[in-house]
Amino acid sequence: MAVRLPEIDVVLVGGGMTAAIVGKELAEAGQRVVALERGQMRQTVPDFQSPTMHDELTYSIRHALMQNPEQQTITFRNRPDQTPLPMRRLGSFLPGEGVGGAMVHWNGVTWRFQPEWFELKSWTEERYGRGFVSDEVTIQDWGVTYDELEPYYDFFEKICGTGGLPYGDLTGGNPFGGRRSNPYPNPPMKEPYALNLFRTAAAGMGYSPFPAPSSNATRHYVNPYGAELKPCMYCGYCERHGCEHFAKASPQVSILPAALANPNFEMRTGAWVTRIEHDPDAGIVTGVTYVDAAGREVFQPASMVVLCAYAYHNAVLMLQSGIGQPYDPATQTGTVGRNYCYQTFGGATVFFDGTVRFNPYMGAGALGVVIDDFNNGSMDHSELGFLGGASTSVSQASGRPIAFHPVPGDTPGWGLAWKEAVRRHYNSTLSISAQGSSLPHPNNYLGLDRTYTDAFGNPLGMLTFDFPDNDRRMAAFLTERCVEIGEAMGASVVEGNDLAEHYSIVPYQSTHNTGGTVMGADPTTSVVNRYLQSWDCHNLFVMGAGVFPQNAGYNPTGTVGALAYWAVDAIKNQYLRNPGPLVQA
Amino acid sequence: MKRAAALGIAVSLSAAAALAQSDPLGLGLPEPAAREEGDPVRGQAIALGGPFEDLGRVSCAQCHGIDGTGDDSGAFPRLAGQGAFYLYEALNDFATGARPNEVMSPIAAQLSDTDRRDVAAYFAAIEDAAYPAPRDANADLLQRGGALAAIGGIGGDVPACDSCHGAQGAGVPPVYPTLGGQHEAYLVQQLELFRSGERGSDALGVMRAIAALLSDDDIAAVAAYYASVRPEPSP
Repeated sequence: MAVRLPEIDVVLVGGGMTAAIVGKELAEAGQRVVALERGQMRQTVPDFQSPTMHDELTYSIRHALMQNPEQQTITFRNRPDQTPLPMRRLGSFLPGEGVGGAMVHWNGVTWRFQPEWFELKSWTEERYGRGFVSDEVTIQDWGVTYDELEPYYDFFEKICGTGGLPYGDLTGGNPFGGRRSNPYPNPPMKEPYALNLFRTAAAGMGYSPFPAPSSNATRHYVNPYGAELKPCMYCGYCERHGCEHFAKASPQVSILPAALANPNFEMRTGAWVTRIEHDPDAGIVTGVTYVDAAGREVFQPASMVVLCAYAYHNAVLMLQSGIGQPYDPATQTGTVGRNYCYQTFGGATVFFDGTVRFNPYMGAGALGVVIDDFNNGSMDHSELGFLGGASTSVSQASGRPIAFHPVPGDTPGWGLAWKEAVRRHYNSTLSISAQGSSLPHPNNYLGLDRTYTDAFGNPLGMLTFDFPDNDRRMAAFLTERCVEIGEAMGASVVEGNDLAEHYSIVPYQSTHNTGGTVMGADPTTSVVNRYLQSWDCHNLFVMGAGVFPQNAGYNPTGTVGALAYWAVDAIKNQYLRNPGPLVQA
Repeated sequence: MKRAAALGIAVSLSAAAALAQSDPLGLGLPEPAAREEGDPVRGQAIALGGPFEDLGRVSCAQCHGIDGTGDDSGAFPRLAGQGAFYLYEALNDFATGARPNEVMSPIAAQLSDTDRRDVAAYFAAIEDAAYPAPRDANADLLQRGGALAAIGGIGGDVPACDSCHGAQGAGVPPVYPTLGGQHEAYLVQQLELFRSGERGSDALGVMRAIAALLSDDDIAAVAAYYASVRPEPSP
């Protein structure tokens, strides 16, 4: 028998970025809020302090800050006719575990998506005609526009202390970006030599380089919550590591100090949510069941449940709880699990002769120079044969000794020749990376596995994914452009980085998983409405990148943050006054 | 063509100026061409030679010791084994007044850019200078200082000193100075100067912001700790 706790106003599933945002805001609105985090409490001091935090083996290679796949993982296959197998070691993506979630070990790149991205289907049909993409490309509109999200992007940048251009006034920056109400709250990062080479070459080719929008603070900064970020030291241990300097925006630095100061908010750690309880007849959720740190099953009744776990965890939890209709690829009906998307990369590795010295160990997660000339809204796709695009950049995020040893493709994989090549190329190699969009395909989805279960006996989530043809054509185009720029930079060797023949879950690619609980205006093709409210249960809301109907050619965190503030605004100012569906189906 | 000609004039003027000013320290050390790499041999000649006629021929060694060990008065830090770039920047900061000091500022101001690099290279190259005998320090104080240094503290707002300065304050060149084995009174004094804002030479104000959160007891503890440890050579 589960222990039944007294009812509370709001339960948040998860203790990461969106839980911190929703918890802070709803506690301030007078709601009693508890966040259920399966991992442990973690704070900048003492948990992220160096030199311990610079232990690359522990944190970067052995994933100390991330989900433990021995307790729960997902199974994977490329196509629906294959047998899925469990991912027993984290590979292609790295969900977090513990307070702060994946925002503890992110890099800090904080984009706004281009405006047309939110109305992709309408925009594509209007611009290129109805038949431009095949029916297999199940793109859709988000039900929210860039202009509606703009104030929330602006606020999220202020919370993160994002630095970039425009700074000071509204001039400069990305010429292909959407309208801004304010410049970035902080100046951009310093520009090391490798980035300057890219800037010079790209500008010479007629492109428009600008500094990557970075939430690695560039100066002392106090955010609207009164939290202080301190300047980045360019130590190069951002991604996969916690920041010892209070410089990288994380829930611990930017949001939780304010949230935890409010007695209405509780962060309950060691609480593993196994089920959302719901009453299908009434169309409401009644609370959640979790297993606490002592192994007891606990029922926490609540007037509202907000799913704030990692992108695909939210979809899996809804499937495990039987809320909404599961997506079925055979009939292409159902919504939960639909439109799983990822990120599609093109790029080039650019080798210079040994007199060029980049000092790659001097870096920061979001230290980059970018061109947006190849992003979706920047190009005319009429003759290109694909839809989508990429933010294309050279970044200097890390030259860490285990992971960073670029060598030309014809180098042996081990032995003296490999060592000599590492020595030769370590300090004079850079990568141009085109971080491309990912468009949905009917075969790419999240479901439940029939064979494998997690530590609590619940079926594992099951991922079916391969790169759609549209995205393959895009990646090939992007790689060609990256090679051209690399050659213009005066390199000795430029190698194009082609997309793998099939997506593999083994090598790390990107922790930018999206979809599965997508938002939209039509309940037959979306799980949540434009306010991230479940179509099935009006007191259930879903945060995170799982609500993206398709993934853009950018890092997702800025949009996840903006959507969280947008949804919280609707909850505070509409839903709490008059609980019920905010959009009629 | 015009521009090239103007450039030629500029070059010959500066060459003439260099000739006129050769041996400005009066030590038989002609001013070399500008360079980035410090020369420790020339630096040693400056450090020990007693230039600065108008300052009474004072030498670096007179106060900091021949091998840069300094003393525990608080006024004369240990320079031996300190990062060369850090020492060079310190001389620059003394000269510009970013780090005001009645004794060091006029001395640094008389050194050319190359002199500063050379002196810095000399003291940085001294590896085996002796440390003073360990003092009897209060164990609680050392414990508190060691915790601050290794994991940070003060309500979770102060990062560990070692995060930037390296394990046991070994220093992380080029920017972060060695703290391990530095004199206690000097460390106390510098943290107080950061806290009051008088020492304004820290990049991005990082040390001023950290020191502002430290109490007198915190400063005493962390200074006692770093004075008690010896920097480990980096692996």
